[in-house]
Amino acid sequence: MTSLVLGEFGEEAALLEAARVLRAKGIDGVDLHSPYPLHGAEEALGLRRSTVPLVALVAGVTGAVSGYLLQWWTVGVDWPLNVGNRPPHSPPAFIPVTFELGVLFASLSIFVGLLFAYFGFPRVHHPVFEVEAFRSATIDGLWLSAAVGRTEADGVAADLRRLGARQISIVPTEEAP
Amino acid sequence: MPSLGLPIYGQPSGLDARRWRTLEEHAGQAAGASSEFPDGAATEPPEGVSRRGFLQVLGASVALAGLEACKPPRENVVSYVRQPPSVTPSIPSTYATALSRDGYAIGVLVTSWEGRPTKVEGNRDHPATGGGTDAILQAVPLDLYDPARLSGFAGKGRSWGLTGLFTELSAIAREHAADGGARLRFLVEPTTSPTLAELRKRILARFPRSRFDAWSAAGEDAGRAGAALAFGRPLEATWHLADADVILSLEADFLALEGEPLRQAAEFGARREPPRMNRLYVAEAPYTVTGGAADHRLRMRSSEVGAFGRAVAAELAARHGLAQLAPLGAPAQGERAKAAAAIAKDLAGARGRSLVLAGVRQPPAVHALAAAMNDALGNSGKTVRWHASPVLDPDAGTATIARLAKELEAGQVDTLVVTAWNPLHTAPADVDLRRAFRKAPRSIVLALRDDETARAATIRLAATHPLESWGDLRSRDGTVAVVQPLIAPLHETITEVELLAAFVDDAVRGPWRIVRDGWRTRGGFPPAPPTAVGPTGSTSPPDTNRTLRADPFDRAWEGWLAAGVVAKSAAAAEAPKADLARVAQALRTLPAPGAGLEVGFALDAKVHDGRGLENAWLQELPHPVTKLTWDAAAMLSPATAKKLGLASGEVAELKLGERRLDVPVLVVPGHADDAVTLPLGYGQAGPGAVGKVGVQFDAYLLRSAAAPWIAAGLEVRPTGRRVDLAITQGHFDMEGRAIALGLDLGELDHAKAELDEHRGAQASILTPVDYSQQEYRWGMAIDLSRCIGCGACTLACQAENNIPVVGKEGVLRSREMHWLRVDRYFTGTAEDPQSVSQPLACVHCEAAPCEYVCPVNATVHSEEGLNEMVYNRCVGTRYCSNNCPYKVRRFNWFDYRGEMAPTLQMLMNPDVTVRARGVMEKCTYCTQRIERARIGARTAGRKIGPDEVVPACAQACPSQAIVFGNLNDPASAVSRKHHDARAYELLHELGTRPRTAYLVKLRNPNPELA
Amino acid sequence: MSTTAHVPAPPGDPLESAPVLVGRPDDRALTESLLRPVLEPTRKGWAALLLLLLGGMGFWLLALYKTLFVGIGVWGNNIPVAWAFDITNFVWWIGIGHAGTLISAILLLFQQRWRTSINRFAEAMTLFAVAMAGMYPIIHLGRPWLFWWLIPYPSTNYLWPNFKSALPWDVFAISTYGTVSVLFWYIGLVPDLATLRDAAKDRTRRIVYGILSFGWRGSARHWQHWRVGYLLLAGLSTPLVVSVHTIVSFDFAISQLPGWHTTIFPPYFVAGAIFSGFAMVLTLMIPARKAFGFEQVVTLRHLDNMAKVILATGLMVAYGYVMEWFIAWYSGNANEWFAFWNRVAGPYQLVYAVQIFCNVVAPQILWVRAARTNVLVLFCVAILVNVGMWAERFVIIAVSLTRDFIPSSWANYSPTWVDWTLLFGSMATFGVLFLLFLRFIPAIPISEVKELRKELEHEDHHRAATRAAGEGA
Repeated sequence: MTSLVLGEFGEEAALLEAARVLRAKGIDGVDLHSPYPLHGAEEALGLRRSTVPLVALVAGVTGAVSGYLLQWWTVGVDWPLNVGNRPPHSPPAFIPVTFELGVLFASLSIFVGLLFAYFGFPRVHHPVFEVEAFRSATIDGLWLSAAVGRTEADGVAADLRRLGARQISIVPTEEAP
Repeated sequence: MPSLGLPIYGQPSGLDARRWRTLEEHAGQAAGASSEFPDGAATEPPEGVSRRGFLQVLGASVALAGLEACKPPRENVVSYVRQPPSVTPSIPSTYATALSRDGYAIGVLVTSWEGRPTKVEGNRDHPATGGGTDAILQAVPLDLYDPARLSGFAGKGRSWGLTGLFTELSAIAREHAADGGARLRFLVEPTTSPTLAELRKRILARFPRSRFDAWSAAGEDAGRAGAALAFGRPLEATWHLADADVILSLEADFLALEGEPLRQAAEFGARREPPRMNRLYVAEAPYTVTGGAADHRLRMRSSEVGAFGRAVAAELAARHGLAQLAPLGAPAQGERAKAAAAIAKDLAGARGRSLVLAGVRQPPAVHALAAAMNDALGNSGKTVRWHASPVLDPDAGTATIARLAKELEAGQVDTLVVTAWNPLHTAPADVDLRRAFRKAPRSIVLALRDDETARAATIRLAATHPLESWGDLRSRDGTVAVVQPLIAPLHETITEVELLAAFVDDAVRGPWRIVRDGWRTRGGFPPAPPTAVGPTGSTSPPDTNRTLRADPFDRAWEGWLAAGVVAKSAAAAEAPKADLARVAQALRTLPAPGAGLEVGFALDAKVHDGRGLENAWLQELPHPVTKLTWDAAAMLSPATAKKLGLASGEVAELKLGERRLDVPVLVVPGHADDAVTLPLGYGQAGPGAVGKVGVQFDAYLLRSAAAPWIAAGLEVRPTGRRVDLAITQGHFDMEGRAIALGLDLGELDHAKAELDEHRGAQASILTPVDYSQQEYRWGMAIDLSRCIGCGACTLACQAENNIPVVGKEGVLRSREMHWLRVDRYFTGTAEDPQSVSQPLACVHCEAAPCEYVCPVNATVHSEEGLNEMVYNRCVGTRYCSNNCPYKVRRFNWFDYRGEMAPTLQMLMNPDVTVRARGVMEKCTYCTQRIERARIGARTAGRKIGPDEVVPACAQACPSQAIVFGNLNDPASAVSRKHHDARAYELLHELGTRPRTAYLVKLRNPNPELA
Repeated sequence: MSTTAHVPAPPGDPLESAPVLVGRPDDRALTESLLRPVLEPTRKGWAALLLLLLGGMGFWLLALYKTLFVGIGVWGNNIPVAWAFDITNFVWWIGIGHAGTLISAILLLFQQRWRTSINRFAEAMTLFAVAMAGMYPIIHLGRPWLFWWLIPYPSTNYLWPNFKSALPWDVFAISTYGTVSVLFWYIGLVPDLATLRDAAKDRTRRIVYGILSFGWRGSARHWQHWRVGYLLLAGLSTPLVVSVHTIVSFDFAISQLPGWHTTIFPPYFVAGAIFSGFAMVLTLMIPARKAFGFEQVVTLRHLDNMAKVILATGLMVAYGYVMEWFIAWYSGNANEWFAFWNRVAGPYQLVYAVQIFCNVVAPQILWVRAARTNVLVLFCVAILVNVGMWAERFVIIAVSLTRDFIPSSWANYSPTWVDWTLLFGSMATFGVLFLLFLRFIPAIPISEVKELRKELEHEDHHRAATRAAGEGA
């Protein structure tokens, strides 16, 4: 039985400060919501470096290699033909497709990775949407959300108010954010 | 094609009895195709059931398959009892027959698929051809299958079956019998057929007061009249160029239209390379095929040619001791005199080995002059031979038809029987046959198509196509060829033989009997043994050998049919003596060339005198010189056009006397100044679907009986209108590029270095594929020195490879589909250029630019080095064409083969895929013929012979300019050509390594005229 | 009605060129003004224009029908000119597309702020241009229903595409380019879709945009990965966009046809692509910013910069023209020289004149700053460049084909009504797509503008602070 404590702040600085304070208090389920990326959010929340580049690299290399193998095997091995006196396996001619497939795989991995692996999308509903006011998070609101046990919720709410939250609401949830 | 077992319902038994082949006949025809076949014949001789019996089956089933519109044929047919070996399905057979050109025979071999004739080739054993064909012959099968052909017999609101028709005709005959046929006239074409001759004799015997008038717009009466002038008799000349070192043509287009052009082209071509290279002088007004092949082309108005001939004669008399020619001669002035002197010297230097030719357009006196000069030069009996003319109607000129018209006008004719081709169209303008024709209460017209004359007739009879009929013809030297059918008549039609026979109540015998029995008597054979005549309609197989043994005539007859010629039937050559005084007299009366413009009428290289107008292949064939398709135009020289303020495509009003005609003009480099050449045969009244595509003008409307070929006093006035002329080649200039190379004979020895730049290996980062280990390495060689640019190869390719026509619209968008095109380039001045023609099809590059750009591997290389086009794989990006430096690839922009008339489907060559919309196509080196040869060789357990495979173009080429074969076999003709000193590769610098080599065109100019 | 109009702009530094953002509107104001085109009721003008363009699209569909069901014989193409309007249009559209990717990707990498407010607009243009371009290679086939034979797949006939041909390269390049463009565009769009979802008043929009935004809630964790991913995609798109037009140029460069067979093509084509692309962005942006009141976010600064890019790439293209001629002469290859001479002296010299005037002469006016900031002048130049680049492609592709090696096979090309309809019809279709985009998707990336505003505010404070310090001293 957990619940989600939401607090809206007027100032970026206050928001980030609040995040730091709560994490100092040992509350991990802290997250920030803003209409644009906040500078300093990473360190305030102590996030590790993103692993997206690694994924993209692996995918890209895979794509390039499979691209070359595809060409080499189809026209070089499976059915070599005399086409205009060119050697069946002509590396220079295989470069473009190799490159394109590398880019394609990398890009797909980023898109799919982000939306589905990293963000857990599609997720058209989320407890925070229960709070009408939270809609401002994509317009002009700066929100902090903390996932805590039902019992600690009121305490955290109090902390937020002290830290300068303009409005606070508590949403009961079943799972962690 | 439906199964051959179909029952076909014919007409009442009376006819069946007549038509049904007896066992004896079966036997006869069986061997008919039999025994020693000439070269090119494809299959074993048939045995057992007759081919013709089979053909009836086939013709019939075809008729059912094909023509919803037409009645089933007359014959009863039966399915096979024993399948004749000759007609194994999918194996084509070849049969010899003869086709008529201006009444003379041209021996041909016709390829037949399960009884469907699809392809015409030359019969090497026939004197009229060296094995080649021309475009017109190649296009014959299309006429046979033309959906627009006439069918049936109708008139006066009535129509008859064959029985009815014969009854009707004999009734008509009886009417005329009373007064001996005084009011009965026959308008026929000049012919050489012994059978027709005999029939005419019998008709004249029954109707002594009737008359046969012969008329042909292409009539060669001038030539015969000239012979009559010189020798007192209308003798027939045959020209033999094999031994002619020096040739002077007085406007005779002997390589394309005159004499026996196919044989002459072969003999001429064989002399176009060292060591014994001949020299050709041509004096002519329009730029002709022959003019293109000349070493010295002297352009002058047709009316001046005679005078030039006289100038040469004068020189011969004055300087070269041929004094007897003095009265004929008349010296010329200026350049002409210089030329005449040089030519005379050349001729005199080659006595007995020279030849002077006069053209059909020249008046009799000039022909007589040529005869006299040949006589004086000792050429008679050598390069020119004289025979009694085989033509039944030596005077087929305008006088005859004028007389007939007068009689019709005067109402002296009740029944006019017309077998001549469309005389209402071709009659001279001042002979108003159109009006006179309608004066005859009864006119019976035999016609292949519904032309103007057929429409005007009171009784219109559909004619049987030559490939469907029995008959016989002579060639110029008198050699007889039997015309035998390749297929039973597709439509309800009759032959000229039957029509004439009907007037002596003999039609019921049928053409086969009439022809055959005629030859039995003519050959002095005993009458047929009665035992051989079998029961009507019997289907029991005949005992071939017994009947053959029984009748010596059968053996002879079958021999003739198989060989395509009647052995030893040529007329003996004569050695007539020329009456020079009479010739001189005639020459003196030659009209002097008048001032101002003169018009010359020309037989068209494609539609001839007009009978080719409805043939789409001929229409789309680029004119050998102007590359004009579908249209015709008045040709004139650049200078004359400038003077008249005209440009190509602009319509001018031609005025000759009182007669006017609007014609688009075409500026042709090298045409004589102050002269206009009008092609005959275009713009027929009420043309068919094909005939009405091009521009319409009827040159016959200016052609008078008095001056059928050349007329002075032409007035030309621009009308300001213009038309789009569909020309396949826009640029006749090589832009200084090394494309179609030409050299003078003298330069050849020094040209090696220059030519080496156009042959041999090219540096490349790609190691060339090694074909030397292959069993076959196919290649082609084209000798520009032999090529006369006639275009026969283009049509042969079209017929062989099921190539569609695209119509005038298509040509205007430059989408013509010909796999093989003949390019013509003019070199030198625009006023008086030399020309070289270059056949160009896919050259099968070993490093083919088209291949590596195809995204789907639709065009790839075979181990034997063919550049293969895989239609099924092609998606139609057309990149191959963009990257083809020779631009020989053709694209199916539309579904050209969408709705094909059922008869046209019969025309298709089953060995060649019919292409779909959206795929690329191109020359395959006739790969289907290569595979046929491979199959034959494999079954015989041998290698394909070095020169065994002959593609359609090479087979058709009259001058044997195209050679094909295995480059890995040093013995093959093609390897020899590839190693010839004159061999070079087109666009060699691109490193495409083409398999087709070209041989430089050699010219042999007279140093004195250089 | 937006409140931004009343927000006073801070005293701008006279030495600084026009600002990339006029005023400092707060987030709500920004959101409102940028979402207005989407949220406000349909405008009459928009509807009328859409109707007009739909009409054009109708003709386009008719021409397509003719082409697909009768055969490409309805075009003017022939032998030798087997490629003409079809491939010309293809190259033209694909070139236009490149500007979008360039603006959003390369400028992002170089952290060009002025990119922010125009990138989505440009990317949308890319998508629709690529859609138009991608159609031509398919319909220009003789048998378009078999286009998939260019894709390698195990089939019963064991046949594979020929990877030595540039056309399969094209297939991969174009499809990759299209895909990546969509991904890049959509990733950037997700936060704004969420904004739309939350700003929407009615339920339907909420649901629709809710689904499209996948459930974005501006979480800092998401923002972190989002920025990395977005940057990576930008990094990938940059070489991609270069490679695509390089490969397109290979379609011609690998042949041996005079006028096509040129090693200069790749850079020259890429420059041309950017050239025409930026011109098209201007052509679309200038009217749009007026109609939807984007002047405060798409400022004269943006136009000025784009004009500079056009000028620069225009000069590269001009250099390409010069080098073509030089090489044709220097190579001493008669056929090559003739092909180029044919461009000025041949039957299509007028087209060549248009090409030179529009691509080389006209852009020179952009040396003048006044011209670069004059909306009308810019618009005219942009239009001219679009025309000129089409002419260039036509000259390269069709005119080269009319005169190759063997004079006997030379023939001219004349387009049919179908050719023209496919050209202008595709423009109308492009317009339709673009109008829909303007109406239903925020054309200016809201979240990025907000971020930009934040950064600018920081700078303002900083500047104010230093100024204060200076006064203090």
